[in-house]
Amino acid sequence: MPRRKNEGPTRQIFANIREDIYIKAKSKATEQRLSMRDILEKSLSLYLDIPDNMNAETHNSADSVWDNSTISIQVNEPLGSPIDISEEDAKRIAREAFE
Amino acid sequence: MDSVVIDSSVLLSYKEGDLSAKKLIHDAIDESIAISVSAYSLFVLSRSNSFDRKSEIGFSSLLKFINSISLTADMAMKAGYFYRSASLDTNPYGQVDLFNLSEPNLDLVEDSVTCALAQNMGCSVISSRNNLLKDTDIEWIVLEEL
Repeated sequence: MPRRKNEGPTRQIFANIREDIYIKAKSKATEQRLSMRDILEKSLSLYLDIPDNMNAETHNSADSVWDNSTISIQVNEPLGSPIDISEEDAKRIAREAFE
Repeated sequence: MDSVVIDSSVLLSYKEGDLSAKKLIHDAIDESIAISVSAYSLFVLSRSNSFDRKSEIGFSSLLKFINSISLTADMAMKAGYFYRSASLDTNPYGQVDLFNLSEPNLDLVEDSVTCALAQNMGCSVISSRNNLLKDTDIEWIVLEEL
């Protein structure tokens, strides 16, 4: 997946974080094809309680069918686990799951 | 609305991003074509080591837009006749062990089931590979020729 370009002003951050958290986050980011920047921005948005529509454009450009919270939880369950997906999500997944 | 039967090879091509498969499957999602697939083809699809949880969720979602057809007694026997006549040279006893087959035999079993389903439904087959059954009157369309 091509890297999403920064839009608007940005700030660089540097921090030494716990290695186990970093490795787990990096592994999940790779699995979900997200950049660490996307994950940090999402985490900080959640921490700051910033509503989704404030960064809707950002969200849409990086979003994949697997980013939906209900779906991403189910993706992490073992093969053969029950699947509970709405008609609307099913249509999007059927179209975009393998892109 | 046109109606066709597909096999596991088309679903695998869709997963791999084949453009013809994508157009066909998207037409089915948009309800401009009715696609059916046999439950046996779903077995072939899901037995692969590359079939992970995302594949499971992706194809389960897709199955809301294509019809999965169970093997009826009539279809099973018809598929057996197809298989027997095609494999007579190499398998004179006509025995089939569905869970312990080499790839060419597995394809032949799937082609037999797919053709039996297509004959029952009176429609064509679309597949990414050639039909291993030589003497059938079922129209078999190779995906890349679509």
